[in-house]
Amino acid sequence: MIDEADRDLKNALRALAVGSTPALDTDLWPRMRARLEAPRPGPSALEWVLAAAVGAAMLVFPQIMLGVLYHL
Amino acid sequence: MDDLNARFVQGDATAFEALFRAHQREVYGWIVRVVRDGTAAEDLTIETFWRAYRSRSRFDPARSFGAWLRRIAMNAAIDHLARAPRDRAAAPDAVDPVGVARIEAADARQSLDRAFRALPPVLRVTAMLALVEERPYHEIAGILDVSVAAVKSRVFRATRLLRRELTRLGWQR
Repeated sequence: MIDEADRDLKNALRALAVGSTPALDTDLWPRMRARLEAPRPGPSALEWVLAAAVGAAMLVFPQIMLGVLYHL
Repeated sequence: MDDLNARFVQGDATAFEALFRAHQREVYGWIVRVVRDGTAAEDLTIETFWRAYRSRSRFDPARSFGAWLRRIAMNAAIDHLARAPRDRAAAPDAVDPVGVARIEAADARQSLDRAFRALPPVLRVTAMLALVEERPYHEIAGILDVSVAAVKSRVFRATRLLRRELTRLGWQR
């Protein structure tokens, strides 16, 4: 895949990767399970504010509903 | 295995656990070779499986779960490297010729490690897949979701950058 001139670089990279790659010595499943079971965070305060702003804008300017529906 | 894949797609937690246990070491190995940090690699292994679990409905059970995971893992590694400050080699731009002459084999290895860490994330991943693992370009293109031409270009750029950085660091082989 690469020319001969880069062979030494490739061999050195491979030696580096093999010689300094630690093996995984623990089972990560308990951490994975904890992440799966963690409660999902609800909407943030900013999201609530944005939703309220959009709702208020629709009440004040109902004609923008047409634009919103068009983009849906 | 197809049955396990199918159960995973349907959201079967037991199937997911079986797939996790079967692939976690392999995924960790792929990632740690790129990020070169064991703690980060553990976190990214979990992140990889988390992304896989969330997007399981898009996985075709007839295909290789490992190949799909590899794609997700490499994307997770690239995202991590893009967020982290780039490791920069600390050597000065002007290399002292006397200092260069003193560089020994251990220093050469360290220089290579620094040069590799200094690569931009996508080039780092491409270099690992192409130069170290010698994956065919078409397979790398599939993993990184780019064209074969883009892979060739990235390998060329990675090699050139590695050589330039190693020259700057006074790498001797």
